[in-house]
Amino acid sequence: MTDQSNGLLNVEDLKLHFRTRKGPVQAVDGVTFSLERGPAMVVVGESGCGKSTLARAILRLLPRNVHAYTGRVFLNGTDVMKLGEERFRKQVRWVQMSLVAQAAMNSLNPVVKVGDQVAEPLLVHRKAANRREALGRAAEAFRMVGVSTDFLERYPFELSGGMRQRAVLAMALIANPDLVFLDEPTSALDVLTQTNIMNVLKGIKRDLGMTFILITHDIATSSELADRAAVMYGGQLVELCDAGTFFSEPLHPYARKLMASVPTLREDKALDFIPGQPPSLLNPPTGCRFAERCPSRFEKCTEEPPFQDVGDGRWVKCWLHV
Amino acid sequence: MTDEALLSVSELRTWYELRKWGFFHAGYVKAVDGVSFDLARREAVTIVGESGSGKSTLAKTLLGLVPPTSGEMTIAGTKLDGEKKGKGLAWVRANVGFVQQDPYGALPPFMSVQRILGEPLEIHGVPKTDQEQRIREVLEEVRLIPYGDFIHKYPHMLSGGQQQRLVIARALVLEPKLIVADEPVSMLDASVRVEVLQLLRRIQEQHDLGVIYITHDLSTVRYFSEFAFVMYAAKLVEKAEVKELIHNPLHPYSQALLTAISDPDAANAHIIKEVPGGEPPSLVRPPSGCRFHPRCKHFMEGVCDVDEPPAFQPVAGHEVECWLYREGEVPVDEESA
Ligand SMILES: Nc1ncnc2c1ncn2[C@@H]1O[C@H](COP(=O)(O)OP(=O)(O)OP(=O)(O)O)[C@@H](O)[C@H]1O
Ligand SMILES: Nc1ncnc2c1ncn2[C@@H]1O[C@H](COP(=O)(O)OP(=O)(O)OP(=O)(O)O)[C@@H](O)[C@H]1O
Ligand SMILES: [Mg+2]
Ligand SMILES: [Mg+2]
Repeated sequence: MTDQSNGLLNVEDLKLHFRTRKGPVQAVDGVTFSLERGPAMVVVGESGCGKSTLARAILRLLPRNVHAYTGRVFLNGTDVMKLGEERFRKQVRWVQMSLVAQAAMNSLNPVVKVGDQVAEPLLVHRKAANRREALGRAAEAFRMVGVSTDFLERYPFELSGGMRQRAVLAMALIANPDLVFLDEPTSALDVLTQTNIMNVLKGIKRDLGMTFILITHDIATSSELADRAAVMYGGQLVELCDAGTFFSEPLHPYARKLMASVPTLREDKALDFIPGQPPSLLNPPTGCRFAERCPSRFEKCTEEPPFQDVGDGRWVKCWLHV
Repeated sequence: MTDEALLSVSELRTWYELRKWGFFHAGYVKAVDGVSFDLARREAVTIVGESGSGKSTLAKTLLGLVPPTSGEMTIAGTKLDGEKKGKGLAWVRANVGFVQQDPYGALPPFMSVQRILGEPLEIHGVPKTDQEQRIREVLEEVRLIPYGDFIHKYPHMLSGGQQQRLVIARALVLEPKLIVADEPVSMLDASVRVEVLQLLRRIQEQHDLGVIYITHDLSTVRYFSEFAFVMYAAKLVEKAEVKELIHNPLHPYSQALLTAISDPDAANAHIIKEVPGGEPPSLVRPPSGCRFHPRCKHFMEGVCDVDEPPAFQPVAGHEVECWLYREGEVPVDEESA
C-alpha cells in the first residue's frame, strides 16, 4: 500500500455515491492517488464524470443525499476521514485545504462587502485576533491576486467577473492552506482575464510553494498549471502521470482520444472525436467503463481493470497496460 | 450570378436602449457599432470575440430577431431596410437558419423530434406528404440514424451532442442559403465538439451554404473556415484569412489573444504570459478613439485616444482597424523587435 507519511495528500479507494429516485449515482467510485507538496495536479474529464464531486468528497462538503461515503483521505499523514465533523471544520477545511468552488464568483453574498467576505475564514477559524487584523490579511491576499485594495470596501456587484473570481481566490488563500482546490476557476471568463489569473496562480505556486489541484474540462487551460495530470472517466481515475508525458503521449485509450480531440491553434493536426457518450453513473458497466467506446477493446475488458502503477510514477486503469 | 455576395452588411449598428426606472432614457448599450462585411455564396466565415463583445447581437440582427439601429443589410439581393422590413423578415426566416448557443435552451422540452422539425415545414406550407421525407433527410444529414430511433424522442432523451445536431437539423430543414451558428459547440464536451463542427462543415460544403460561425474559442476556427473576423467591443477590428491571422496577427488585441491561447504543452506551466491587464470596456461609454487603447502597449497619445481608426490594408486581403498601420507608420513587429 502507499506510504501515508510521505506526501501531502493520499487518497485511497474513495467513494461517494448519491441517493436518487432512480438508484445510487456512483459519482466518485474508488479513486486512489497521492500528491506531494509542491507539484500542481490537474484533474480533467468530461462534464458529469465526477470532478467536482471528487473535490467535495476530499473536503467533506457533502450534500444530504449521500448513499455511500467510504475510503481514506490522508492529509499530512493524518486520516482526516476519521476526524469528527467539528474537528475537521476547525482544523482542516479552509485551514489546511480550501476550495474555489465551481462558479464561486457568483455565490458571493451580495450584501456583504467583499473585504469582509474574504476575511471571514480567518475570523471563523480564530486565525486573526480581530476584524482589523483579518482585513489587513485580506488586503495582503488582494495584492497577491492582483486586485486593488480599494475593492475591499466594495460590494460584489461593483466588481467585474474577473475581479470577483480573484476575490474568491483570495478567500481560498487567506488562511495560507497547504492545498487549494480550484474547480473551473476561469471557465466563465474572457481569454485575457483567464490568462491573467493563470499568471497569478503560477506566481503563487512558484513564490509560496502552495499546492494546487486544478479541476477543468479544458485541456489547454489545464496545461497552464499542470505538473501532474489525472484523467477522470465515469467516476474513476483512468490515468495519472507527469504532465510532460500526459500532454505528449497519454496511455489510456480514453486519454489518447481526448487529447486527439483537442483543437490546436498553431499545429495542423487531424482532429478525432469519441463516438458514443459517457456511461451513466446510475448503472455503470461492470467491466471497464470506457470499453463500449474504446477502439482497442478486447474480451478482458468485461472485467474491471485495476488502477495500476506502470512505472515512472504513472498509473493507468486499462488491461492493455497491466 | 455566382460571385454575387450572399450577404452584404454596411455600417451596421445595433444599440439597446437603457432605461432608468423603466422609463427615462439612460443611454445605449452599443452592442454592434459600425460593422461592415461581405460574405460570398458558399463562404464560411468565423467571427471570434470575447464574451460581451456583441457577437450574439450581431447574429440576432442578421436574423432579424433584433432591429438594427442603423446601417444596411442585403441578403441574396434582397435589401432589408425600414420599409420592406416586414417582407424582408419573412424572407430571412425562410432563408437563414439559426443554430443557437445553448442546445439545452434551444429545444422545446415537450415537443418530439418529429414536431420540432415538422413545425417550420408546416408554417412554410410544405405539404404533409413531403414533410416526412424532408424530416428523414435532415435527420440523416446530421447523422441521427437510423432516423426511426429518434423521430419520437424528446430532447431530454438525447445527449448534448445529439441535441445540438437536432438544432442543426432544425436550422437546415427549410433548405436555407445561409446559416448563422452562434457558439454551436461551446456547451458541448471537447470530445464531441469536433464531431459537430465537422458535421456543420461537411453540410456547408455539400450544400454550398454560406455559414457564419460565431465563437469565443479561437482554437476551433481553423477547423471550420478559411476566413475570420476578430470582434472587440462591438467592432470588427481585424479581417483576414485564418492562417494569416494566426501567423501574422496585426491588431494588438488579436496579438494578445494569440499570446493568451496556448496549445496543450507541459511547458506552458512555466511561462508567465505577457498579456494586457484590465477588462473589456463598457459598451455604454466606450473609450474614445480606438476602443482598445486603454489596454494597448502601442498606445500613441493624441492619436489612438482621439479618432476611431478606419480599416487599413497593410497586407493584401488583410484589414485592420488600428492607427499603427496608417501610411508611413512603423509596422508593429519591427518596432518591438
Ligand atoms: N447531490 C447530488 N445528487 C445526485 N447526483 C449528483 C449530485 N451531485 C452530483 N451528482 C451527479 O454526479 C455526477 C458527477 O457530477 P459532478 O458535478 O462531480 O461532475 P463534474 O465532472 O464536475 O462535471 P462538470 O464538468 O459539468 O462540472 C453527475 O452525474 C451529477 O449529475
Ligand atoms: N436585450 C438587451 N438589452 C440590453 N443590453 C443587452 C441586451 N442583450 C445584450 N446586451 C448587452 O450587449 C452587449 C453584447 O452582448 P452579446 O450577447 O451580443 O455579446 P456576445 O459577444 O454574444 O457575448 P457572449 O460571448 O457572452 O455570448 C453586452 O454588454 C450585453 O450585456
Ligand atoms: Mg464540476
Ligand atoms: Mg453570445
